[in-house]
Amino acid sequence: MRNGVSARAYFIGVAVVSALLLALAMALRPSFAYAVRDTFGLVQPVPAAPDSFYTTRVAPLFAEHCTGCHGGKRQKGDLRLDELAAVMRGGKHGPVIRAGSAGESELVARIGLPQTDPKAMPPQGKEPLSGDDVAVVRAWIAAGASATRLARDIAGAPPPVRKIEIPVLDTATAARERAAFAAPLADLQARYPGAIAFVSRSSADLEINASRLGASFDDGDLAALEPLRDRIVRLDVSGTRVGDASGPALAAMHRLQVLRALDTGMSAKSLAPLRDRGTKVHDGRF
Amino acid sequence: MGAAFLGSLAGRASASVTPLDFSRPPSQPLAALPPEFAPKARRVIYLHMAGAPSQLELFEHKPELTKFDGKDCPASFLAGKRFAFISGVPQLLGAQYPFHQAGQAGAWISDRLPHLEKHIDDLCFVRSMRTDQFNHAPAQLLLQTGHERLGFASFGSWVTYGLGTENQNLPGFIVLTSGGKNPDGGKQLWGPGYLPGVYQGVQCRSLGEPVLYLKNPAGVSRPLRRRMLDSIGAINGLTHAEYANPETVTRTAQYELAFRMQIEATDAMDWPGEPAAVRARYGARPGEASFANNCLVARRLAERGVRFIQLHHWGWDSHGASQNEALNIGFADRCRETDQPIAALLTDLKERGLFDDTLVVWAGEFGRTSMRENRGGQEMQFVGRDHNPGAFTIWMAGGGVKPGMSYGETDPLGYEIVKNPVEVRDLHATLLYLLGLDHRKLTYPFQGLDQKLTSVKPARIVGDLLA
Repeated sequence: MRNGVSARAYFIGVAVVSALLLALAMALRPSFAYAVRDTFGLVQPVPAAPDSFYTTRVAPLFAEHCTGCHGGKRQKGDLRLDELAAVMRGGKHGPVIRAGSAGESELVARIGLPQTDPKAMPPQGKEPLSGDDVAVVRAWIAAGASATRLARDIAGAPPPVRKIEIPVLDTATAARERAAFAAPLADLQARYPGAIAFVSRSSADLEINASRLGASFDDGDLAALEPLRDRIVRLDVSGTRVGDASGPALAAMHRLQVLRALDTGMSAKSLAPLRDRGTKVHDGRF
Repeated sequence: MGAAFLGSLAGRASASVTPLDFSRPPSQPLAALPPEFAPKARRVIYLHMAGAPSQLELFEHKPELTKFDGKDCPASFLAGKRFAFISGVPQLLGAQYPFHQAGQAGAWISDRLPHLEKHIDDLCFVRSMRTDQFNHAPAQLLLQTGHERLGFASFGSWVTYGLGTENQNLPGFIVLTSGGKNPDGGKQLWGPGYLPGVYQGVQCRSLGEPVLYLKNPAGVSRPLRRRMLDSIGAINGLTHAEYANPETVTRTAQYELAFRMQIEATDAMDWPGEPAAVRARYGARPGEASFANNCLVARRLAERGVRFIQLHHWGWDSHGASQNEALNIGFADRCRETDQPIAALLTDLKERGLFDDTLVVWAGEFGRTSMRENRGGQEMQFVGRDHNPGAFTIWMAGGGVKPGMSYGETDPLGYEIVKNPVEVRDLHATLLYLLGLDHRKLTYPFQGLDQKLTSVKPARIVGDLLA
């Protein structure tokens, strides 16, 4: 070498400088440090228990309101809130959660700011966390920001919002079940147009409304519904000429949940057994 | 970047949401279709209190507001807000009527609704409704069609499209108005938008003949009418074969519906034939276009299998600019006009075994301010409140809603929501859920988009409102 530095010394020098720069970068950018350590398999994951308060209540809030900017795709402020280890590590300015003390946790302070504050999170224009949502996060941190503690161990958390899951539409099962009585159903639908319908697209249960057939519908007609008796869950015979003779036919509809029978010839006595077995009977008598 | 954006959109929309098939034979556009899943409610009676009733005089008990009555409004209430009429610094206005607790649940209610109070444990209150519209017509359109602009399908039209109707001799969607005026949003509030015209709400007159020209003219017998319709139908059939315009089929179906309605609608509207005790319960009196009469008709229509019944009662716009707009005069009249009939309707539905599967909704289009209106910065002759889109209260009852529920909360002055805000689209999604429909699958293709009542922003079903 021209200036007398050996190749070996040069190599060591570059390595030392590189290491220092890497260390500096890791010190300044925790998320970078995390990525580096993650690359070398040095990250000890903090597995949150699947039934823990964190997984069931806190993580969904982060996913709904935060991880668009603080997640896998973007890490604004070097903060990720998509996994517990990253949540606990914090961002550019250090930890955002102080386990056991919600009041000293930066994350709680930010999500509690009014929307107009420039430091508010999520920023203005995005849907803020509700008061209950903030309370959930606070309760979790106050109880130690645990990865495993269950909902019953977290004091002061508001009850969970009831989520509605719409059942998957399973027409195949319904079609199979419907096939068993398709022929008598078609006959009866032709005989009583518009009176017989399936409860839903995913069901083989039937609801029958004979009330618009009026006086033309009588005990004989009710008896004619016999092939469908295992499938009838709702029946309206209001204003028809159905009378006490239909008691046994109604009793045979063992899955009948609701019977509407105003202004019929049926006596309270003949309806009593239906009520006793749990069918809700509306007959206009109080 | 653009591709990534589109990709992320596709990923979001994909969550296995396939629109349901709502096709029917062209001649039976109102044929009943089963809901997607078992419904809690089979029909809707929507009581639209047009003009926006003051929640602070009916259901929102705010002692703090009474305490600060007459004090200047805090500056934070005014910053960045637009009002219809308030200017300068208005004064806070306490409740104009006394409140008390009622029912098992101890819900607060003012002394204006003594009849409704008997049903209070059956009501499900949402105290945290909000809208982004502060004028009547767009706000009413938002509530009724999911959009503040014209041209979108109304809630009733969507429900009739999605479920059809049980009784093919009556329209599936019937509208009755009272209060002396149609609501500001006009007939678009029951319009079909881009849906086929047959799903439009049919407005029946509350006074005189319910449907004009429903009777055959003198000299035209029912058989002659039948032959006439057959001829028109044949010609329309040729037109449809040539142009395939679905509106031609709609027209033919409407003629046929009118023919069947000549008998059934006349009977359904014949409420004076009800027993005197029933008429008295509603306070129904022949010869006037009253909300009471309309409530009684609503029960008769519900019983006859009409899917969606909508009552509009105008006159709740209590600014304080006139007697009719005064909280202590016109507002009290509106309460008197609606209280007994609504209570009678609920009682009647219960007695007739219809309450459990009929969804009753009571709502205005926004709320009213915690401040007294000071139009032009002046003290006004009468006491009133301006529009508050930030918070309003509605209630629901019957089919599948949680009785005795109070959901959401406003601040101690009743001005802004502090807990559990409910968007209009959330309400729509929830109501459709009760009817057995997933709002994401109740769609109609128009202008390149699968149009929905809840539109494109995510809507949530408010599970806490469900029984």
